[in-house]
Amino acid sequence: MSNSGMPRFANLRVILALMLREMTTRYGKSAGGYFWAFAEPLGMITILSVVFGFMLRSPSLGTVFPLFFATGHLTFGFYADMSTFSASAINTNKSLLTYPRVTPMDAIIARCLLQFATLIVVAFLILAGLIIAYDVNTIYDFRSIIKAVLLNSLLGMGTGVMNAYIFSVIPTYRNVWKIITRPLFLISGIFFITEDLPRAGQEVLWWNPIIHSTALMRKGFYPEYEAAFVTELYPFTVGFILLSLGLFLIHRNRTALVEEQ
Amino acid sequence: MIQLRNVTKKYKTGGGGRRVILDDVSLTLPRGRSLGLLGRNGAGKSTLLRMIAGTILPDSGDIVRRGSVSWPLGFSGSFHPQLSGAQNTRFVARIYDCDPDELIEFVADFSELGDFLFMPVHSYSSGMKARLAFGVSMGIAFDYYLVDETTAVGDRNFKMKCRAVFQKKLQTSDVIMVSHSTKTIRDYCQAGVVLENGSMSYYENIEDAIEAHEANMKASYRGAA
Repeated sequence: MSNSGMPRFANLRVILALMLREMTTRYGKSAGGYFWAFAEPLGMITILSVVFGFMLRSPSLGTVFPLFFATGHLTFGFYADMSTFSASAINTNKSLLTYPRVTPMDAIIARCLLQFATLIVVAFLILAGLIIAYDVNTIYDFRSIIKAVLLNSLLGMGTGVMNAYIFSVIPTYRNVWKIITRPLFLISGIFFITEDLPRAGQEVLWWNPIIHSTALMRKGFYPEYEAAFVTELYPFTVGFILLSLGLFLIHRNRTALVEEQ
Repeated sequence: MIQLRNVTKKYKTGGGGRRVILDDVSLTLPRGRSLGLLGRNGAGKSTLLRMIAGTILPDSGDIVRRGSVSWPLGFSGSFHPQLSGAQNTRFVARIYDCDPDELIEFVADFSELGDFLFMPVHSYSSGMKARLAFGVSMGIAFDYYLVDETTAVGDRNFKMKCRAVFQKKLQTSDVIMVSHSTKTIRDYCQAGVVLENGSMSYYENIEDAIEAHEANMKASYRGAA
């Protein structure tokens, strides 16, 4: 075999090995890892449902508070978790990059795939549980649901990959990022729908790409909701540009990223 | 065969200057002769080794490898502390496409870790980690073993054992080695490369390489005095 041991763009064998390794380190040691993957969103949905249940008679869509918040919060999770986990992929796997066979790209792809699989399982089980528990009867629009999940995952990966690069060049940016994105949770349509807001607010929040995905998700669960403002092309373009640019920067600077240790 | 084609590698240094490791070097390192890398401290021997391994890319030029090349041996930091020695071995076997169970068997036999092989690596002493690291790399068949002895650890007994295994490996594989000790280099290597001021000279006989290296060192000593 010629040129073996040479780093290439990415390698399926290495990605699988990294995923197996991370499954045992993150989830294998104790049940804790899996427990928190469920407990975090479930806790959040419960708190939101209780608090808003006191204040309002019914959520903006339907009658079941937990389902309304679950469709918002779980969708947001695809963005939030994908972005944090891919952003830290290089840092956590730094020691592995001394194997010439493992590239920064492998580390990022492995983490994204594992995180995506985890999020899908968690979202499916929580939503299915709520639908059964509250005996929800609705017509699902699976196309919109799948689109919402994929668009937010793309946005999360794009942001994370871009950040993985920027964090390694400008470490303080990590703190800046944390602060400036904190309000994102409040303005991404988790506990409201865009249509609840005054016109000016709607126009401003349109520019938040995540709000398009949360609306799509709600459209998938609430047939009466049209989500007329949604422009799928917008979050797709933002995510696609971020992801391509981030992957390009990481591939181009892979040596510098490895040498930094 | 490992071939460097117009390879240049420079580092920015703190004071705004540039440290030149390689300056447009073209050189063919033939198969069948184990190679010692010589050069003063900071000349970039370890960097060159990592470039041959492929973890560091040159600024310009190509490094062509005919045959499989190991990662730079002598570092054990890649092991996950929460995973057992066996689990870590399994991971390396997976990325290098060899049978995990066979490799674990080899490592168990070679490293003499006993039950520790199935305990988390964070419970290992540094010597045990070194034995695990060395066992894993010796269990995989490479054409070239890259050894960075400047970062290696391990007690005398274990070093003897490494030597014995290496002697056997040397019948089919080559070693490319960085070491502070000319004695170690003499023990393992037939040919040598001297790294000096961004250029690289190949010597078919290790003695000539050592001589050239020592002449460089003396010249700079005189220059400094």
